[in-house]
Amino acid sequence: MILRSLELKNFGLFNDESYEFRRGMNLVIGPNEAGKSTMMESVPAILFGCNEKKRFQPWGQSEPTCAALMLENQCNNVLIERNIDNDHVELTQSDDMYQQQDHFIATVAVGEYSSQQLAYRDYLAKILGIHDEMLFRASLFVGQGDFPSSAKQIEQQMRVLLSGLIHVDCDLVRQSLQDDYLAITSEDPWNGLKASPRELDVVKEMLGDLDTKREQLNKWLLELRQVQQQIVELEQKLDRDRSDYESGIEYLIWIQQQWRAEGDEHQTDASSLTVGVSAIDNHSLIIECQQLEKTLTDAGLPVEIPEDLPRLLSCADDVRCDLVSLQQELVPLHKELKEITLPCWKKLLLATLLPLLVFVVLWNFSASKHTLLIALFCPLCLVLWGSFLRRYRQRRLSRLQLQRKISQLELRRSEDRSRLEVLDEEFESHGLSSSAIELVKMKKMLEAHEHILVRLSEIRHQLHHGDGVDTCLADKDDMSDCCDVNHLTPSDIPEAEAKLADLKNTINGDEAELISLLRNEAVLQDRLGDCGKLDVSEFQLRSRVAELEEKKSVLSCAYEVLGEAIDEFHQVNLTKLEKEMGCYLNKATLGKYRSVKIHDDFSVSLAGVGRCSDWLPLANLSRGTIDVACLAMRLAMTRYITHNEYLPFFLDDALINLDSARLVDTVDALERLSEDHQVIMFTHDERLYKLAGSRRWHVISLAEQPKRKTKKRKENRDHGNELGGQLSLL
Amino acid sequence: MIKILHTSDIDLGATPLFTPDFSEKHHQHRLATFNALIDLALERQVDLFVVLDHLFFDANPDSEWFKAVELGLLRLEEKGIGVLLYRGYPDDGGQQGIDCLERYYVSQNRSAPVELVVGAETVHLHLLHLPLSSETTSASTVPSESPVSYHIGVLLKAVSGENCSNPYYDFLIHHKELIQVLNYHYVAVGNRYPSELVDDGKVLAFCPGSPQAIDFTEKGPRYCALVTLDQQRVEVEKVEMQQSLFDHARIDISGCSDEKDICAAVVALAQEDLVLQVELVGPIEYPLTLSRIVSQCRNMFTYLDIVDHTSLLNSRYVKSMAKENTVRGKLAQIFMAKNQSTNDVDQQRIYELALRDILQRFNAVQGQNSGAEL
Repeated sequence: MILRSLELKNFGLFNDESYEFRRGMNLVIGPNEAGKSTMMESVPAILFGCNEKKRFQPWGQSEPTCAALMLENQCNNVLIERNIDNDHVELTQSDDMYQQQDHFIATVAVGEYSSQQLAYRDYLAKILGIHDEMLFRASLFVGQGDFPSSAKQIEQQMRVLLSGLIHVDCDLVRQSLQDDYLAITSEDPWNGLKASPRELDVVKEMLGDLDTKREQLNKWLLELRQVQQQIVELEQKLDRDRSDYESGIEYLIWIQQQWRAEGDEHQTDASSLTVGVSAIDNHSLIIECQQLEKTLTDAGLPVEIPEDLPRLLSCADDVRCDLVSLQQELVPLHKELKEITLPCWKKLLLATLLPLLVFVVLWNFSASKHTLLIALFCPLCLVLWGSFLRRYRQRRLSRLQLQRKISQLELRRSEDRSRLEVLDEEFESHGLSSSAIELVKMKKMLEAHEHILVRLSEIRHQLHHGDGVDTCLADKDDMSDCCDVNHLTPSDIPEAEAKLADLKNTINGDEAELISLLRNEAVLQDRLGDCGKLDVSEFQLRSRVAELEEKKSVLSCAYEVLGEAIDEFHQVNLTKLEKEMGCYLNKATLGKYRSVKIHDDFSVSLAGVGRCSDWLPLANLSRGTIDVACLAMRLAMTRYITHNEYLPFFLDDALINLDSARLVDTVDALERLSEDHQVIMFTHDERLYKLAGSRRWHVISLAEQPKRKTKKRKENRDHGNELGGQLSLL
Repeated sequence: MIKILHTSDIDLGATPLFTPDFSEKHHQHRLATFNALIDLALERQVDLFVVLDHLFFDANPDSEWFKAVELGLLRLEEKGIGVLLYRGYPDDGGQQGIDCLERYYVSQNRSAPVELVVGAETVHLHLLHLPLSSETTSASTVPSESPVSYHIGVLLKAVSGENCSNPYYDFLIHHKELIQVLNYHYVAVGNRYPSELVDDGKVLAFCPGSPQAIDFTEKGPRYCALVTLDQQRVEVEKVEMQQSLFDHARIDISGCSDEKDICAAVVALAQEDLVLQVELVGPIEYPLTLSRIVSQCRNMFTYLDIVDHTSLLNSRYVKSMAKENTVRGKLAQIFMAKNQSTNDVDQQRIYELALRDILQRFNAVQGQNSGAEL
């Protein structure tokens, strides 16, 4: 198949141009910015569309950008027209007599996957053998930097192209899959190695810990329910037992009163029973009394608390407080008294007498001369002494006042002390320590255990006066309702007493157990407080594990399938491809090299005839041979990928870097290959232009075309110097 | 006649586990739902406001939520509406905040029924525990001084230790006979998931479920129950309460030619208060960029989640790729063969994801590719 013609309308620099191409070698020549690359890019733009619409839109033009190409092979012609702006495509297929066979019209925008787009792709696959734009470009387009300069680059390009892909080869992808897999888990199923724990292992371990915690929480939850159940049951039992006990006691008291009331016959018995009942009641009261007394003893209080003890303690406390406050008042007063000292008269007297003595002596020798001096001295002395006397008086008064205050306070203190001594004697008379610390402690404990004292007082009162019996007698009317029931006889009393005592013990035991259960319940509830947070953590961890497990499965599957695909490709396809490449190489090298061997790592060896009959790695061959082999293998691969289609081969200044000798060799090979594949070269290389002239290639000179943009180009066209000017500059 | 507003599992402070992004908004929705319940109770002039299980999600509620609850309950009290809170396990810890509402709470250990007098009528609320037993007190055996008295059973599923994680397990059906034996006027049930027990046209027991959904297992409208009791009849009115409606939709995108079409199909479901999970199914010709679709549509919803269950393996693109004489062609062939050879949906999903992963790595499938990029 060849590209027969190309029509460009409002397409880049092209206003409304049409170009014809031929079989074999075609050369599009023109200076830089002449539109060579635009023309080459117009081919995939027509076939596959263009995402960047404005790229080819001429500046200031409102008319649509349209392009069309005609593909031709031995049997039919295909005309594809596209409005680049709105992606309206018209595909017309006709036979070699230009009779229309098929016609397809649709809007097939880039990036859309509509049914029309898919149908259009099917057309392309049928016509070109390729439906994928990137694969089309990778196999048929060779840009300036794309022509491989070494065997390694050829092998790399081959690996990528045979992967069916553009940017990376399949081995690299497979490696990346394995790396990602091993980043998730420490298990390496392919090498059997075990690395340090990865994220999945860590998360699973955390989940295991969480499960353990969950189990523990469930146990606590179960325990809590049991405890709560036990509490409910125990509370109910306690209520029943307490009620029974109270009823029992009341009944015994009541029956005792009944016996008393029943007359003389039972008097004796009743008396004894009263004693019995009282004994039961007293027994419980005594036990309670003993417990309370023990509590008081533990608290440091006497068992028998004198009635006036609170008063004594209160008085003692008051006196001690008073003493402390007196002491606090006395201390600053004493300090103040110590600071107030009387002025020293001795120094002043000495200071007066010494000058006086001097003046007396002077007076004896010459009285007239020193009269004035003496007259001045006398008033000075008077002033000094006057001041001294005034200060002396003030200080003395202050001291006296302070001393008076101190004496008053001392008097109060001595009174308090004497009161305290009296109180101490009273404490000692009650057998209590008179130590201040002990008394303060005793006062506090007394306040804290006031309710115990009240209860103790009540019990003692009951024990002495039988108040409990009287209280219970008030309920006798209620009890008498049960008169028709068989009542206890005096002989039953000991047994009843024993039962009630047992019941009391049971109640005490149950109360202690209830407290323990309530404490246990509180502890368990506190532990279960984190239940909600645990749910959140577990959900997050489980989600992460599920996510990682899925990713692991996906990566593993991808790795395995890709490996399988590569192996299958090697086994099935490479032999055919080697054969295809051998044919192309044979043609390109004029039979010097006829066979190609592609190794597992896609490295290539060539073999020929005669001296070259041995397999030679591509890297060991000359540069010229490598260039030729490159072209041959590239075209062979293109043909193989496109299911034996001979598609046009586009080179955009791909050979520009070759020196003249290599260029000629490469062009020779291209010419030979162009018998099957149309070759279209875009260049500004004058050497190729000369070669084209000498070898009768089809040449399209873009410089001849009318240009829109620059005056300079217009001038060039006007002078008819279509090529020379700029090419000579090159 | 007595009117009761009965709700369950308000779960203030609960965080949706499927996404952390939505938490703050969801907290506000739950709080708004609680306030709406209070407003409804005031508007309908109910006599009793009963919350079963999990008023708060956490043992230590945020002070904002706690204050809102306290304020709301005070509003009810001011209008003479009785408030009863039956706590679930998360409300159990030694939490200071919840303890301040202690006067509203009914102890789980309470065996005697709560007795409330409303005018000349009396309501007895009996706390039931699962499994129900025949020993549970029957309505006929409870003495009452009031000539008109009602007996209501209160059944807390969470406290009773039933498995709450399965939304499809309706425990009321399994206890139908025992509930009938109780002969209560009504049994109020506390559970996240709604359920109802009707016998001969009469509602025996009703669980309105949580008034605000938290995940997509609780899709659809959420209710509270307005129960009207009189000696002749029990009337249960379901009142829609949710602030955001959780729903799930499946869209077959085989007819969509591009992402714009898919977005249009998603936006067609738009509703302001909708928390929607969309499942995309059907063959596609290129892997979807879900984040792009979500970003284009999410403003139309309270929250939008899209799950991609589309199939690239069945696309014409992959089928045409399988015809290539390349490694990629072989790869497509193997994946297609493997996919067809199994009926295991999970395994098919793995194949699908594996193919997408490889193609993504190869950077081979780029819908937007053009000559300009090369």
